[in-house]
Amino acid sequence: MRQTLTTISEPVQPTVCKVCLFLADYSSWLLGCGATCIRMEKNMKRIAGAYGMEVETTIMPRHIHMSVWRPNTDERYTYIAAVSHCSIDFSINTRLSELSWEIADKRISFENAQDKFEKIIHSPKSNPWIVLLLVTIANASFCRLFGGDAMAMAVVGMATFGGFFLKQRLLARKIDLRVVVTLCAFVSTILGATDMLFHLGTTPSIAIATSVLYLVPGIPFLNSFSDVLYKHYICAYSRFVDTVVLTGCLSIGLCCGMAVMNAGMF
Amino acid sequence: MNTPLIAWVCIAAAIALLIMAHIIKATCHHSVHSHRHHFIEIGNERDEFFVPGDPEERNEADINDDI
Amino acid sequence: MIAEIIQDAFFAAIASVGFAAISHPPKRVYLYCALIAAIGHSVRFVLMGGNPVSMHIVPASLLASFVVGTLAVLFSPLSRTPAETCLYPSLLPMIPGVYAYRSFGGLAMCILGKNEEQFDHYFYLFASNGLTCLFILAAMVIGATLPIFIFKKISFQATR
Repeated sequence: MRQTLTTISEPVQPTVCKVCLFLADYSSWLLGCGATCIRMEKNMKRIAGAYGMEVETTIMPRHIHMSVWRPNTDERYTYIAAVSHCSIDFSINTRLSELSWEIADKRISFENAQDKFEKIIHSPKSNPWIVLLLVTIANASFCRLFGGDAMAMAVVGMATFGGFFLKQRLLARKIDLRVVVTLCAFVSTILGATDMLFHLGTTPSIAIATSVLYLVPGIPFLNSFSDVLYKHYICAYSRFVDTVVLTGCLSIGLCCGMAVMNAGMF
Repeated sequence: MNTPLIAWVCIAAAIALLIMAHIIKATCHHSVHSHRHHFIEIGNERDEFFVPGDPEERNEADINDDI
Repeated sequence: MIAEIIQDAFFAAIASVGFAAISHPPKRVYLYCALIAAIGHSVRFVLMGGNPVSMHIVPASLLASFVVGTLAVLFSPLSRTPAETCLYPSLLPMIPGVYAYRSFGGLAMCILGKNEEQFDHYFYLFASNGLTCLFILAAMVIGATLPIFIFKKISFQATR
């Protein structure tokens, strides 16, 4: 690898301990914001290589165990970091990957890298109203892809707006994601049954079926299968169980909603 | 009893109320932050006796009146 | 047929942008996501459409996600993002969400089933939906990851 051939030559090289603690925070955020295990490993090795060190990691479901050492010396540091509980954020993911290349290629100092890292993880979130609007339009379009008519699209849009708004408010109050998904699925199903209740369109069943699809944890599903390909089986399994539990919660909300509205799933 | 209709009305009304309450709260919060003035404030001695045309320098004696 | 394909591509692009917004990607990525998702989803639509081919959803997803993966890897240096930042939001319209929750619905009904016949029927629904969901996901990830292996240098150096 190119980045391991040359190292950053600062007047004062960071100690192994400092680099390890930095990598602990870095990897905890990278994994928390939805990066795959292979991406995380590569970025960590790139950063450690830039400072003339090597790193090996074990990725557990909720923790990352890492050991950083300087080759041909006795300097060695091991640390266990808890995975950050942030929501999936590809913007942070991208900028943290960029940071690893800046450290490797542009030779930014360790202090500078730490400052940049702090800035990245404290960067502002996108406007929740815009996200709400985009998700509403997206789920309405999704209804169309499943063959829903214009009225079903409108109903799904309304159901998504109500459900996703509730999700944002409940998550802001730090309520457990599983409870939130169950409640939102229930609310979206009830609102999605408007079509059926008032006999508005010709595809009421499609409206109900697609009204909860914005809650399907798509990216964790893809991440878990991607980890299988790179042989990170434990992490893959834990991510898969997470998604199955969330899908189960979604189904409970949906089934309860359908039972209240006298609608059948099959 | 028409359970689906009652459930639909309850959920739709609850969500509509929640959205409206959030919008109103956000609007009030925004207006408070944009003015940066309280509706009732205690002014300092200088404010009370100020006549247009007075010099604007601050006196040392006024400093403690800012509370 | 062409109108249907264009319509499918258009709504898939909107769905991809909207669902991508949940995972907060960099703003410059939205356009690429929309484009890649539109092409990927319409490829699957054509493959499953019956004219000229009528594929099962699993191989169709595999081929469509291979197209998505290739485009995402090729576009990632342009957007200066890791390949998965473009890739995953573009795959979101193809996620088998309905199969996923129907398998759970089947499971619930199978437990509540009153006799063997009902149990067998709902167990069949649970198993068929669940397996289809799993195989679609596996096919999508394999199809989308193969280009990352093939163009390894491009995909892991995109943010350089």
